[in-house]
Amino acid sequence: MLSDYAPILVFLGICVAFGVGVQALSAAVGPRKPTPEKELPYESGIVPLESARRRFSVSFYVTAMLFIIFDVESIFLFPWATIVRDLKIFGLVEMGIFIATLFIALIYVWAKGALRWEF
Amino acid sequence: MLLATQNLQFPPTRDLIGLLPELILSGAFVILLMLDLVTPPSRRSLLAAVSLVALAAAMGAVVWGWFDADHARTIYAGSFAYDRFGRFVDGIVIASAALTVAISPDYLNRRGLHFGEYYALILAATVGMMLLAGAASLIVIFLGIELLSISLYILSGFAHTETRSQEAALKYLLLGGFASGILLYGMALIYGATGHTQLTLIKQSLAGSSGTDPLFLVGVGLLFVGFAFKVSAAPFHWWTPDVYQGAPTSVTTFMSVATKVAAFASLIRVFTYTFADSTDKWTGIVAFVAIISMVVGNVAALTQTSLKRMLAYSGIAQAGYILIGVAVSPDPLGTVGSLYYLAAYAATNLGAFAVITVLAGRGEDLDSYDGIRGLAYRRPYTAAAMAFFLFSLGGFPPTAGFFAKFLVFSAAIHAHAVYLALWGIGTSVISIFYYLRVGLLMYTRPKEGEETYPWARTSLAGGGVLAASAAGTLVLGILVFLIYTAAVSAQHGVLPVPQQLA
Amino acid sequence: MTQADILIYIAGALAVVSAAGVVMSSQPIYSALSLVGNMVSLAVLFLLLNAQFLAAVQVIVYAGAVMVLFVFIIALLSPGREDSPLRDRRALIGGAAIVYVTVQIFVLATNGTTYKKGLPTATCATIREAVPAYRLIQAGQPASCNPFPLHGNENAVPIAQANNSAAGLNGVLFFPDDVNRVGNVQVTGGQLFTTFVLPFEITSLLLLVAAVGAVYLTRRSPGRERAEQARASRRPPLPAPAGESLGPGVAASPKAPAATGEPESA
Repeated sequence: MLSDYAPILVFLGICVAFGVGVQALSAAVGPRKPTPEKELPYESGIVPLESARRRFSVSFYVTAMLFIIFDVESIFLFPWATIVRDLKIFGLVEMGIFIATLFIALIYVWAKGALRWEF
Repeated sequence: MLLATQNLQFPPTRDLIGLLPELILSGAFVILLMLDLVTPPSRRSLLAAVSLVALAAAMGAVVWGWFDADHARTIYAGSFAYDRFGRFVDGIVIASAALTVAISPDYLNRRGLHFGEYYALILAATVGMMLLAGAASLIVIFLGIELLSISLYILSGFAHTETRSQEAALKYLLLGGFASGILLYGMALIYGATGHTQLTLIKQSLAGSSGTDPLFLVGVGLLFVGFAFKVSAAPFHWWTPDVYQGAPTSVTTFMSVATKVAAFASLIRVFTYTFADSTDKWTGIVAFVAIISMVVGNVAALTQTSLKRMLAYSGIAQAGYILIGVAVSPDPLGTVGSLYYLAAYAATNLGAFAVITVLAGRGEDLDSYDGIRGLAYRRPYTAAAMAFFLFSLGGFPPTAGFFAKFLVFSAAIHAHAVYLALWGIGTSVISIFYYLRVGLLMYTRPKEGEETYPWARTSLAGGGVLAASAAGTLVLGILVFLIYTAAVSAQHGVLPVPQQLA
Repeated sequence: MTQADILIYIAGALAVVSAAGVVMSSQPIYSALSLVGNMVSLAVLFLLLNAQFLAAVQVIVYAGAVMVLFVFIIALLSPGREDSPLRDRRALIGGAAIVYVTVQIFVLATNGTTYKKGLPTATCATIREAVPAYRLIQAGQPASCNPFPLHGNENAVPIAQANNSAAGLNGVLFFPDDVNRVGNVQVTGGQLFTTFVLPFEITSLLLLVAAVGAVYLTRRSPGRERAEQARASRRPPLPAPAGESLGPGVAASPKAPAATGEPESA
């Protein structure tokens, strides 16, 4: 049974090997002539305007929070979907209540303007 | 087809009846959220009216359920107990919520906090408390606690322009989250030791064992710590004074009463009735926490100069008295005493906080002792009500507090735990000092030209709530048998399977 | 030691090491990354314990969504380097004491009366012997080994009734092989909609309250702006220190300048 997961392990190995390999190759083969400009953080070729360590807007936090809430909702949908036929009308009703409650959450969040992006 | 082997058995539709009050309030919660979006700010008192209607309907369902739940049963595959014990506690919680909602519009308007979410969250917290009171499964207990706690975290920080309120919310959230973690860990260990989350099945699987499984005992210990935090028993009380002081007073009114009642109901159901076969393993700790709470609460309350903090410490001490009823398990008198105490505490403490809420003026919350100096000369009825509540908290006859203490202490003596009764009586004597101090301040004539706190005018709703609390305190102090009989009946029906009162 | 045992030890060790990394890192972002490692290790443990669905949920919800929130909060607060808690001797002693007590408890528990090793691979008969929870089945029911113990009700209900307690309880036995034969997600779903349908519905309420809280506590209501403006007008506005302007979302300044000026190049 455990051997079922062997492909994942192989995949993991390839990922790690590729990441490490590319870095090592670049370090070994690539020329290295550091200048002050090259040491700057990469910002699409433009000289960075300010430090990257500035505070983010609280909007990010609200968005992340709402993302979690609806992410959890989708997690509950998954086991329901696999046996939706066995659950018959009961499962449909229960899931309907669940989704309706979270739909209310969506309406509330929308109406309060939390989805509007303002800094 | 392999799926057919699952043989799913859905809960019967009649189980919905057992959740009727919760369903009504959940529906009202959702409707209020939607109504808030279309109600103009000046009409928000309508939302209070809608919540009151919903609470009244839920109360009706609870009263009907009291008679219907004569034969206790669990519903939803053992997740929820449909018994008189739960209905009894539901009644207290709903009444507290209704009284809180009634005093809220005036208070919130004066403080500039009148938002529709307030009522929705109060109802959500009420649903959480009712689920907690009836929960017969560890999972439902946890979800009930979380539902009420998250609602109250938000309500504590409801005044989002005030640093103190924000601080209260953050403290409550961090410490509450930590306590929830401990509670959940305890539940996990108990599940690991017994293999079940439903209390009835846990009780059955414990019946065969000696109850000395370390996994189980550690689980019980952690579970108790989690509950002790929620009922704010010492030494897990550190959040209480700060949160009670920082939160808007109407929120404190609700949370100081209803949370404690619901959490105690669950504590009794889990400890006294589920872990009934191993009482000798944990009653010692409960008694210890009870004594610590009585001593710490009463002694710390002596030195306070803030009304809310004084009542917070007084609440910690009251938690200690109620814990006596748990510590004398499996004596059924203990449960009856605790139930009676919970009802008395709800009426009295709600009244005391309601006085502070009703009097709070436009600026700062009424909080310092100086703020009530000379109250009796300007607001004689309000001051008389407050004095009456303080008398009840101190345990003087003929008030609710007296008989509550009497029942709990006599349960302790009945269970041969006289030392608990002695600690209780001793600390009650201490408590008289700080209750009297506040009472005397109200009746101190202010000096000539001295400015008093700008007390708000008591509205009709505010006066009604004070009258109702005072009436409740008086009824619990005089018509003792009314509630006592109900408490005995609630104890008889409690699930999982109770010990009968001799 | 079987393959699974070795993997359990590896994943367990990784979980402990990464958990230590969470509390001992000097930078919050490293703590967050250690937490990802911890959650993935736990997912592997769930997988080895035959809880495939839970493992997937662990990765999707915790290592995915919750970590996004954590990282955003770290960015929101942008805390600097913290003192390493290792330097505080009291914290070290306290931590060591907690670790010691926890280990002792679990050693005690493993040697205790009920917990026994080898549960996942054991046959149905040995499980019934090992776990006290299953003893009730033995007591009320002839100890025949049901090939599909997922018919849990048949076992548990008669005993519940015999004890004169509530009927309709689900005492469900799950043997890993049977679960996998039916399908792990399917069994989880089946339980979610029968035994645990009440907690499932309460969860939706909980999520709704959480959404309300997230929006209410972070939004800028008219009342808040008014109060902030009132406060700002009472005392002279502080000169904004150049270079480290607060994020306007958390700034305690009135909204007006934030709305008009300061083009935010994210």
